[in-house]
Formats: sequence, C-alpha cells, structure tokens
Amino acid sequence: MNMPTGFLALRERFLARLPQRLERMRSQLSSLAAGDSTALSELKREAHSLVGAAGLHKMTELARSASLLEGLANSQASLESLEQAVDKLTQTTACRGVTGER
Amino acid sequence: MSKLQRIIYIEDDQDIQDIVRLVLEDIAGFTVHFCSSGKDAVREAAAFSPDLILLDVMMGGMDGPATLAALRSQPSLADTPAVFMTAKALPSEVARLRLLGVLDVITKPFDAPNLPARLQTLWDNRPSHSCRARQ
Repeated sequence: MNMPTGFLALRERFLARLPQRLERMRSQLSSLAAGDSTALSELKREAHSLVGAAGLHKMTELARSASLLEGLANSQASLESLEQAVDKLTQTTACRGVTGER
Repeated sequence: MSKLQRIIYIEDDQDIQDIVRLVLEDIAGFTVHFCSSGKDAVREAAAFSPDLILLDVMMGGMDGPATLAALRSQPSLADTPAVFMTAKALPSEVARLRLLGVLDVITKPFDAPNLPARLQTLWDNRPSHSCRARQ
C-alpha cells in the first residue's frame, strides 16, 4: 500500500495547479467588475472547490482563506472586499508555510 | 448480501477527483467511473450500472441535486443508493440535502484514507428495497 507516496504526488499536482485557480478567480473578478453577474456564482464555486481540495490536503490556512472568500461571495460583499479576499488567498499560497512540511 | 464494487463519482474539481481516485480505485480496489459534470453522468451512468452514486453538490452546469434528480428519472437508477459530498456546509444545508433521499452527506475535508470504509458501511446499512418502497 503506497499511500504516502501517492498522496504526496497528488499534493504536488494540487500545488502546481493553484496558480490556475487564482487566475480563474482574478478573471471572474474582472468579469464581475464589468457587470457580468454570472461571474459571482462561478467565483463562489471556485472558492468552494478550493475549500474542499485544500482541506483534503490538510492545508488548513489555505482552506480558511478560501472559506473567507466563499463567505464573502455568498453574502454579496462588495467587489473591493472580494478583491481583498483573493489578494489574501494569493498571499497565503505564496507563504511557504501553507504547503506544510517540505 | 451483494458487494459494493461499482461506484460512479461525479465531481468537477480535478484535485478532489485525483484523491478520490487514489483511495477508492488504487487503494480500495473499487471500480470507479469518473464524470466531470452532471451532464456526462446523465449520459453515462446507466451503461456503467453503478452500485452506488457518489456526487459533489456544487458543480458548474447541473449541480449535485439536479444531477441526482436526472439520474433518478432513469428507471435503472431510480433506486441506486447515492451519497453527496460537499465542502463544509451549514447544518441546514446538510439537512436539506439529506431530504433528497441520499444515504449520507459527507462533508469535505473528509478523512480520505477512511472514505472506502465509510462508503462500505453506508452501503451495508442501506435501507432495504421493501423499506424504500414504503416511502
């Protein structure tokens, strides 16, 4: 049973895909700023997915930041607050500690 | 008692799909059919003939409840046991999902290595046909 190796490899893949998630969020924010209201539900879903995926990889700080963004998106927060939450999320992913023991 | 072997799993997040693939297929040895959207599932599920439907709640296009309803409308899937998976949800949301006739609502982050055993237990304790017929 090769579990740790398998999980570590998936964790690497998850980390490698993180920039794409953030890029999608930025693009959703731009659409939202341009008046595309469907972008908000996409942003909610994107944040929600990240809460789940980060949680599964036991990256609690990242899951918490994503959860904050999801909460703001669900409560019809201002564009500015959403942007700040995505900024915070970006900082969290840049922080070395977030990826856990390496 | 029949054995749990074939699981259809509907999830649009690739990273979550990867983890579930690792634990259910590679480690536990279930036969899993993966779908990245509700639409794919509606098209492919009946042919796969699953013992269990495992599905994410919040997905683009058809969400989990809409997907389940569409699958349930197919005669061969009308009684197939189903389980929802969702990232941390409010208790009221979980309760609402339970009312849709699923065995359970598993909230993420779940303990990945224990997922196969959890699904097996849910499957073993599923209501019998006679019981569900009365509902």
